[in-house]
Amino acid sequence: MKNNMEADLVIIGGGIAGTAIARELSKYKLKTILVEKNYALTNGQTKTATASIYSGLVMIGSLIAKSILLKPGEPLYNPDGFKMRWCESGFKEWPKVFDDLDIKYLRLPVLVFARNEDELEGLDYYEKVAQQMGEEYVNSYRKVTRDEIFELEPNLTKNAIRGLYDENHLVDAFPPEIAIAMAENAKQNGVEIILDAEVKNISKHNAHHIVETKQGNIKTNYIINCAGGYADKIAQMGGGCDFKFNYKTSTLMIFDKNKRSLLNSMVRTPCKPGYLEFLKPTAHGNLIGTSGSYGTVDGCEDTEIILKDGIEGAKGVSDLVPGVTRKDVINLWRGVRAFGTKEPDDYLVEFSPFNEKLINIVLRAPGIAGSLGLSKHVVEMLKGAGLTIEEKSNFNPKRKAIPKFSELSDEERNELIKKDPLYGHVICRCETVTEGEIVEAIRRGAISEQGIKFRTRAGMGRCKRGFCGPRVIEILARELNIPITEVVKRSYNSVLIPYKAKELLLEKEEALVR
Amino acid sequence: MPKPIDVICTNCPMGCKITLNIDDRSEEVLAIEGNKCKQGKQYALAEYKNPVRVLTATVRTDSKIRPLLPVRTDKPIPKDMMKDMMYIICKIVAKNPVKIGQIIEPNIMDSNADLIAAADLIDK
Amino acid sequence: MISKNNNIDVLIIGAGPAGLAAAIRAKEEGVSNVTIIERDKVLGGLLHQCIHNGFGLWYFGQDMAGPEYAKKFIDRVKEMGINILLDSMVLNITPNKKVTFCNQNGVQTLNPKAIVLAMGCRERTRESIMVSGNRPAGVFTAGTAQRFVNVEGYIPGKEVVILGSGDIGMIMARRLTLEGLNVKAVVEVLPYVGGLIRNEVQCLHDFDIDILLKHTVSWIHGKERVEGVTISEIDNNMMPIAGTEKDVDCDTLILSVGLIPENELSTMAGVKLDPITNGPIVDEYRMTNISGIFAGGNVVQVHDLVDNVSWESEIAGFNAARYAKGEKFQEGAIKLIPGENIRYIVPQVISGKEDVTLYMRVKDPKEMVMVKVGDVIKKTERVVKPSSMLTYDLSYEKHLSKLPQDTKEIMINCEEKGK
Repeated sequence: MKNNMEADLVIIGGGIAGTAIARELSKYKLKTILVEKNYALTNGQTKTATASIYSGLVMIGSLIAKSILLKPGEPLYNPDGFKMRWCESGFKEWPKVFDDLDIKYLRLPVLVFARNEDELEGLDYYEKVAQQMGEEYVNSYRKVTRDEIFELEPNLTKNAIRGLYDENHLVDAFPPEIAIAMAENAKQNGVEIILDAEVKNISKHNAHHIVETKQGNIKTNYIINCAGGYADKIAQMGGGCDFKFNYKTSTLMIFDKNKRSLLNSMVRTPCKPGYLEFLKPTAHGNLIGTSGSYGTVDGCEDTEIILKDGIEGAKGVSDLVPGVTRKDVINLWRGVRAFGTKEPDDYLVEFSPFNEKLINIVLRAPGIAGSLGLSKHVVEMLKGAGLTIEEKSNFNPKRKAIPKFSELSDEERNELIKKDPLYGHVICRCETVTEGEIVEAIRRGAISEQGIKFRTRAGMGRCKRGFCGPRVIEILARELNIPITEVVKRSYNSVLIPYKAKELLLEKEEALVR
Repeated sequence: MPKPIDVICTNCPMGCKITLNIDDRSEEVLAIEGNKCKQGKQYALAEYKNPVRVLTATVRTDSKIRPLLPVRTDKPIPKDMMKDMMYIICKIVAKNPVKIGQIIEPNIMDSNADLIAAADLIDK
Repeated sequence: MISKNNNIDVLIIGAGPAGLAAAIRAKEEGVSNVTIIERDKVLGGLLHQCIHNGFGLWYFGQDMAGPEYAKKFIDRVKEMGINILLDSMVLNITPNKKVTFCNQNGVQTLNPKAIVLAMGCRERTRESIMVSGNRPAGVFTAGTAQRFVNVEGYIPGKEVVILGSGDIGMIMARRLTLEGLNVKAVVEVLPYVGGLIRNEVQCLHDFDIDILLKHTVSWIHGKERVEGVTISEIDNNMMPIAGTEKDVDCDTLILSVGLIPENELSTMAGVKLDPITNGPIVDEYRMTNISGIFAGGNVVQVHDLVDNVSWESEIAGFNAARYAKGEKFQEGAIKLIPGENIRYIVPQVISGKEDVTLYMRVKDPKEMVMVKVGDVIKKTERVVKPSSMLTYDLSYEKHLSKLPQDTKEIMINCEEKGK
C-alpha cells in the first residue's frame, strides 16, 4: 500500500489502450501512473485478440463481419471515423514501433477462398466492398485461380474453387507482447505502473481527483479510462456513464507448432456478418484459428470454453486445411469483445459528458492497430483542454526485449550464458524458455504464472505447464521471496499450491484429538 | 445364516469377484465361489481373514535439498491401520543422513512392521 | 565431463528407468564411452515421485517402491563409470546424429556413434480434451500433482475429483487420501476401469472412493480457483448427456487422461513415428528408421510395468553398443500387422532371423480369446484388457524358421473363442 501518491494523469487499465497511451504520455514532462486491476497487464480483451495489424483483404473482411453491429443506414466503411483513420495509419506506423520496441512480428499473405456457391458470392461481395472503400483496397489483392491457390497453399482443402490473394497487408504479433513492450518502454521513460490496483472509487475535489485503488489513493488532475470491458463502471465512478456494451464472443484455438509448416499464409473463407472462419500462422510459430458465429453473452466474465464449440471449431478448421485436426489443439479460449453502444462501428474517445477531466475510451476490433493513433489523439485532446504538455528531450523510444533463447544462434546463446548461466538452464521444454528469461521477466514486473507466460511464453507449449509448471512456481517464489503456497496463477484468488506437506493431516489429527 | 462377503482377486487381470459365505455366528468360512483358479481361493481366504497392505508414504526431512523422504512398511500391515498410521508418519522428521532401508520408526504402531527408508537422504 | 575428443559411443537421452537400463546394458557390451544426458538434476526420472510399491516384482522378484528400483540402476550406472550430464537439455538431433544440448556451461554439440532415445512421455492436458468451463488454478495432471506431493513437499488442494481411472489416477486417489485430502470421485469415460485390478482394489475400494464409469467431467466451475465440477453420463460418442449432470464441490481437479510419448526430438532427427503408438517405428533391435538411432521405454510405447521398460530398453542399449562397434544388423524384412482386436505391436518390424519378444495391446477387453501370431503361435488367454500389455516370445528355431522364405508380413489377431 502506498500513501500520498500524486500524478498529473492516472490511466485506468493496462490493456493495449492504456499501455499505448502511457507510452505516448511518457514522451512529455508529465507524471503518469497506470493502474491495473489484475496481477498482470493485458488480462482483459487484449490477451484474447488474434491480432494483428492489417489492411487490405483482412480489413474488408473485418468490416463485413462486424456489420452485424451496425444500425440501419450506418455505412460499412467509415473512413473519417477514428477507427479507420487510425488503423490505416497504424498499419504504416506499427512496423517501426515493433522494431523500436524489439517486438517479434511476422508478415503474412492472406488468401480468401471459396468452396461453394455461397462462398463464391462472399468473394464477390468482398470485391464490391473493396470498390466502395477505394483504390487502395481494390489494389491490395489479386484474383487467384484454383491452380494458383494450390501452388501457394498445397495443403489447402481440395474443395477450393478460386480466391483473392493479398500479399502485403497482414502483420501478426502477440498482443500481450505488444502491450507489455509499450508498458516497459513507458516505465523506462518514467511512467509508474501498479498491478493489483483495482479502482474502488473516484471522487472529484475542485481541481483534482482522488482515485482510490487497492494499492492506495492517488491525487490526480486527469483520468484516462482505458478499462476495456469495465469502462462503463469506471465512467460511472467518474461522474456518469452514457454508454453500454454489446458483448460478443468467439472460441479461438491454438494448434501445435508441428503443423505450422502446412500453411504459408492466413487462409479463410469470406467473412459474413457475425461469422469468422480462418486459420493462420502466428509470429510464435503456432497456427491460430476459429470457425463459427459470434455468440452474444452478458458480460466480460462469460469466458467459459465449451466442448461443443471446440469440436465444431476444430472441424471447421479441418475443412480449411485437412491436415490440421482436433488432435492438434493445444489450447482454446473464448474471447469476449465489448462493443460500446454509443458510437456506431467506431471507437469511443471523448471527454466524459459528466466530467471534463475524464477521458472515456472504448476501442473495438481492430483495436491494436488503432492504438498508436489513439494515443496521439489523446495528447491532442489534453492540449486542447489546456493541459501544459512539454516534450522531454531524453525520451528513449527503444526497449530491448527479454532475450529469446529459442531464437538465438548457438553462438549468441553461448554469449548469453557466459554473462548469466541461468540462460543455459531450460525450464520450459516445449518453448525452450530458460531460467534467465523467467528471472528477467520477474525483474521487469511479472508476479504471477500468467505474467511469466505473457512475457516469456513459458507454459504456452503443448504440455501446458506439465513440465515447467512446478519449476516456474519455484522460481516465482524464490525471486518474489514468498512461500510457494502464495504463488498465484492469475489473481490473488488463484493460488496454485495452497498447502504444505502434512498440513492437512496435522489439521485433521488435531481435530480428532480435541 | 450365511452372510456373503465379496472380494476381488488381484492376482491376474481376470479380477474374479469371489464370494465367501461366512457363518454369521461362528465366523467360519462355509463356502468360496466365483474364483476361476486355485490361487483365487487362497487369495480370497487371506484377504477375508487378514487383509494386509504395504503402506508407502513420505516423511518430512531436515534437508533443504530433499524436503521429503519416501518410506514404506517393510512388510504388509493390516489394511485398517493405514489411515491411523499416517497420523504418526506425518509427525516424523527424518534427520539427514539416512541410508535406504534404514529403520525410521521400528514396529510402527505395534504392527510388527518397521517403517523403513525407500531412498537415501544424503545432503552433500 | 565431456571429453575434448567427444568420442561418445552411445549417447542415451533421458535418465529414467529406460535410459538407465539402456546405458548399463550398452556399457556391459564393452564400449568405452557411454553417456547419459538428463534434463533434471538427478538420475531416475519419474521413479523418484513414484513412491508406491509394485516395482520390480518381475525384474528383481521383489516388491519395491519406485525410488528403490531406481537406486539399483543408479548404483550400477555409477559403478560402471557411465558418464552423466545432468541439468542438461537436448535441443536438437539431426538425422546424422549430431546432438545439440545446453546447460549452465553453454551450448555444445555431440557426435555419438549411436543414440538411444529414452525420453518417456508427457501427460495429456485439459485443453487437449477440451473440458468445458472456466480455466481456474487447481487443475493438474496426475503426474504434476504427484511431483508436488511426493518430491517438492506441497499439496495442491483439499477436495479432489479425479478424471481418468488409469493407473496414475488411481494411485493418486490413494496417495491424496492418505495425505488427508478428500477424494470425492474418480470419473472414467470408459465402461471399465482403465488400469490394473490391483490398483482398483488397493486404491479405490480400500478407501471407499466412488468410481463413476461411463461418465465425464462436463464443466469446471470457478474463475480463479476451482470451486467444483459437473459430472455427466456420456453417450456412445463420448459426449455428455443433457439432464444427467451432478454438481460436486471441490477445489482440485486431477487429470489422468492419457500419456503421449515425447517424440519432438525424434521427429527433428527424421525418425518415423507409428501413428497408433505415437512412438518410433522400431525393429527387433529397437533401431528406428534412422541408422544408429535406437529407442526404448515409454517413448516407444506406453508401458504398464517398469520391469518391461527395463527389458525393452536393454534391447535398445545392447544393440546401440553393437552398432557403435560397427556390427551389422539383419534387415527388417517382415512387417507385423495388427489384426482383429489388436491395437498395436512393438516391434513393428522384424528380421525373422532371430528370437524376438513381441509386445502388444488389445483394443477391447474380452474373455476367453485365442491370440494368433500368424500361423506360428496360438495362445489361449482367459482375459485380455487394453490396460494390460501382452508379450509373446517368438523363437527362431521353433517359430520363425518355419515361415516361408519370402514372408513379408505376419498378422496378429485376437479372436474370440467359440466364434
